[in-house]
Amino acid sequence: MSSPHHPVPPDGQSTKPVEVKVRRSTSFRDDAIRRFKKNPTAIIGLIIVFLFLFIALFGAYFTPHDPFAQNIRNAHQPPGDGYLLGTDFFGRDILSRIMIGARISLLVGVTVVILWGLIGIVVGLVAGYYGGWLESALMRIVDAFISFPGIILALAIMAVRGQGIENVIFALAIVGWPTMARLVRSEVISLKEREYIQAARSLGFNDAKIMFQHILPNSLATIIVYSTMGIAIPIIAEAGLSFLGLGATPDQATWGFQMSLERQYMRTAWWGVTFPGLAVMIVVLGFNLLGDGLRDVLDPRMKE
Amino acid sequence: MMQVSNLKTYYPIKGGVFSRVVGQVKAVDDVSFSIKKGETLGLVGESGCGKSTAAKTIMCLVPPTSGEVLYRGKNIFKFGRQELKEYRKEMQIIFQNQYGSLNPRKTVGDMLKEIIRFHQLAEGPGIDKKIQQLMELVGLSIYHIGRFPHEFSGGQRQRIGIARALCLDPQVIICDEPVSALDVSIQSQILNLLKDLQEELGHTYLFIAHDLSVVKYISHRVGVMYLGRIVELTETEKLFETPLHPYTQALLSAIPIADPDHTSIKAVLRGDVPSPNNPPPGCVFHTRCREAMEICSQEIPPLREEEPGHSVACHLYEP
Repeated sequence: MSSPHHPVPPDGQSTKPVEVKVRRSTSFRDDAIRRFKKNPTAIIGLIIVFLFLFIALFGAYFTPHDPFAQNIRNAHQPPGDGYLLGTDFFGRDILSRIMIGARISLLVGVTVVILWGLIGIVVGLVAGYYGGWLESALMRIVDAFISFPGIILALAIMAVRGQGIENVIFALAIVGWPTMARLVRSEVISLKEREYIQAARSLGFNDAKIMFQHILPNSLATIIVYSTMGIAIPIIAEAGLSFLGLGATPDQATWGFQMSLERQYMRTAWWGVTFPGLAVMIVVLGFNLLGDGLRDVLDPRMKE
Repeated sequence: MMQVSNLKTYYPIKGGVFSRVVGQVKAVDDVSFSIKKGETLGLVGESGCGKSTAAKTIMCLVPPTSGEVLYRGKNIFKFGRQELKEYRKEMQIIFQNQYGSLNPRKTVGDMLKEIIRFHQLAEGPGIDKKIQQLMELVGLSIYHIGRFPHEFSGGQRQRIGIARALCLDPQVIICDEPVSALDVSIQSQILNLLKDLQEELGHTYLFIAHDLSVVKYISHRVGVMYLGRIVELTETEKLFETPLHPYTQALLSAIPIADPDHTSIKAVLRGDVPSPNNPPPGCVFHTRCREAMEICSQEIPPLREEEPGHSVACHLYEP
């Protein structure tokens, strides 16, 4: 607990005005970065996430084969021998398709979770903080959304809005935010009774300030963990929608679409469904490890 | 300075379909007292007797059921947004739980800076100077400024809580059991700090505690609460010398005396405090009172002045 940054020795009850520097921001940030570096699983998570982001952004430029070139003679080639991860039913290179599919799959996963956060955090904060009829009204809306089976609701929205990735994102955001709102609300309800929130109220701070600057930072751990776990949900759901012909169009490549195409050949050509599935798994693992690390790093109580 | 009259705060008990209100916890039931400028009014009572709820109601943290609190002649429950903000500058609270009362994600400096910026109490270098002054005022070093609450001891945290309350330069400070979670040696440090600050800055305190010796040390006047009501209210010396209410007598006789040869006749109370959601009719204390009469279970005794400056709510002293 030594504080090398502070100019005054511990016994120095200074009477003269000394230049006071509140060094928190730098020292806490330095400390957070140092702790992050010491956390091997978080580093692995960061590497995985960056690797996939890199593939999503630039993978299209160095795929080993044309991800869209069909060649029936090459259909269902096993892994190895020119095709590292084998080929699919149309003879397309699976590695190339995973690389090109990373773009849409990650886009869907990350964007949808961000949208959940934006809607769910605001609704959860307002409902939990104000309580009363406002909470009842908001939570009944949330219940109404949750009472629909998610995929059916998404299908209905897709049916109205038509095929396309932006509509997939819209539909999945609509389906998923209520869970986030509930989670945030339950956090807020327990936090708002804490004495430091009461103290903030008695200091005259306005509600928005208390909600966003006092309650929200203290519920970040839960939100981060749920968000990083939640990335998998839209990636898989996008596969489901694509399988039903409502997600990606056949001229696009996504991991989920690839899995749903190859699912029926699982017994004769296991690689077709396994490798895109592994890609989903590794990405989710990466975000999870990163989120876990972030949660620890962002908590000042973990400071050494 | 402050006049509390007939304050009632009931918490609804909800149950059944559509969360109907099926009962009420009468946390504060018809409490009246006044505080003069520069004095310390102590409120004592067992846990659950409504001391903290009374404090929170006066701080406008909990809505009152009825009654009024006049501060400088104005009813605080009728304040608009802006008036309430001004009121909160004059009225601050120190909490019991020093662990829960500080935001774990803010350093001491950030916490104070936020208050100063929000209320525009200082600008530029003046902010740091004010923080420094506050830290010195409560006996903390300026090198503590960059630290997080979990890096402090209990007593230090309570000092931070006091610094936060002092930041707005309030007139009245409500101390909600500020020392009951601290070690005895730290208790005296904090009590002395509060006393010194009062002498220096002329604060008015509403001091809530369950420890009679603490209240005796710091208060000018004391109110004794039982089950949401004030049963006796007088100057500290009078209360400890000539307690009138049977409950106060029982409380005082329970103070241990550090003398093995001393044998006192203790007025031991039997039974438990009745539930505040279903208080007994008449005087709320009659179920445990040794002096209980027939009238006690029928009529609620009003708090009336038995001698000048000594009020008691008991049928024994009815004329």
